[in-house]
Amino acid sequence: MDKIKSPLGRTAIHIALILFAIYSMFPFYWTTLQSFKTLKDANAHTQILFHANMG
Amino acid sequence: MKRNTFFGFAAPSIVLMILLMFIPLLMAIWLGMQFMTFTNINEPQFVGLRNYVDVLSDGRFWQSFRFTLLYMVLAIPAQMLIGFTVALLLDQVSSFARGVYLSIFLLPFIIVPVVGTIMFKQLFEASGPITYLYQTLLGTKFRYTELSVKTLIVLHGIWYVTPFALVTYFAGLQTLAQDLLEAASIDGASRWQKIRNIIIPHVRSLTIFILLFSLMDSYRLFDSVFVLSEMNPIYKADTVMTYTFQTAVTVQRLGKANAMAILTVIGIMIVLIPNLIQSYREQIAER
Repeated sequence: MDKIKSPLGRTAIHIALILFAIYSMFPFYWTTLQSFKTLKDANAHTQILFHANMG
Repeated sequence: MKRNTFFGFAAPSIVLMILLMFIPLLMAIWLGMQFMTFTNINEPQFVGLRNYVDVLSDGRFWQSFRFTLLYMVLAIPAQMLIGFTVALLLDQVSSFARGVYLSIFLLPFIIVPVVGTIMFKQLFEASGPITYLYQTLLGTKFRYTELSVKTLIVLHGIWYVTPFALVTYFAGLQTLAQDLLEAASIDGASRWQKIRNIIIPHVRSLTIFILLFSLMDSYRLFDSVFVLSEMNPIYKADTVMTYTFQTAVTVQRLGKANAMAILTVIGIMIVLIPNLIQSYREQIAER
């Protein structure tokens, strides 16, 4: 189909696709993140979405 | 082509189909007429159609059948709608961006189903992010109940199978004749009119294909239910396949489980055969 040319429209398309990418990928991201945590951290009720110390 | 030549080429496929499909099907029909458990597996007792009567009068079978139907009604339209919408969006971006997005979108579909379901379930565990979000927004704890487990199974189905619809629709969009769209543009058609009058009819055969494939896939729904409900009867989230598995393995009624399998095959055929005939006629008419 003919492409949307307006910058606003193109940005909206990419935002929608990025949101769908996050939706598709989030379980993988979460599992990877959990694999770097200690058992105590992994089972903690207050979770962190980004882990600063991967070492 | 001469008949002998045709059968010469088709013979290997026909032999394989007989060995791998018809003989097991006939065996399942025969086993469905036996009273058989793991203890009398070598000396089954012929009971005629009693297993079929047992299945059809079994409340739990109908409960699992209703949930399988509910899953189909909720998950399949959502998968197709989201898949089509995202395919349209994907068609708008550059080929490099498409590659990146597609490789991410396909992740749920290419992973082993059980592993994918465990990953999905982790989000809803006591320490999971969605549970945390749920509690923060609604002020109550997320609990595994009949409704929540059934909802999770449907949501997982949408997450897991949408990439299939997406890729199929996206492939269909690549075969769309551009001159049709250009002609529509010259005639002053809006974007929505092009989607409704050109793109949707163009992908109609693909829509039927996705629908049939999804229906078959929904009948076979097992892994996600096995992981998400942990086969706990309290959630009443059995599907036809999980209940057949329980009947065979837990209750050890192998004959009844075979009868269920045959009834499931008949159910799939009732749905599929009219659609396949219609699809075949359309393809013949197009030629």
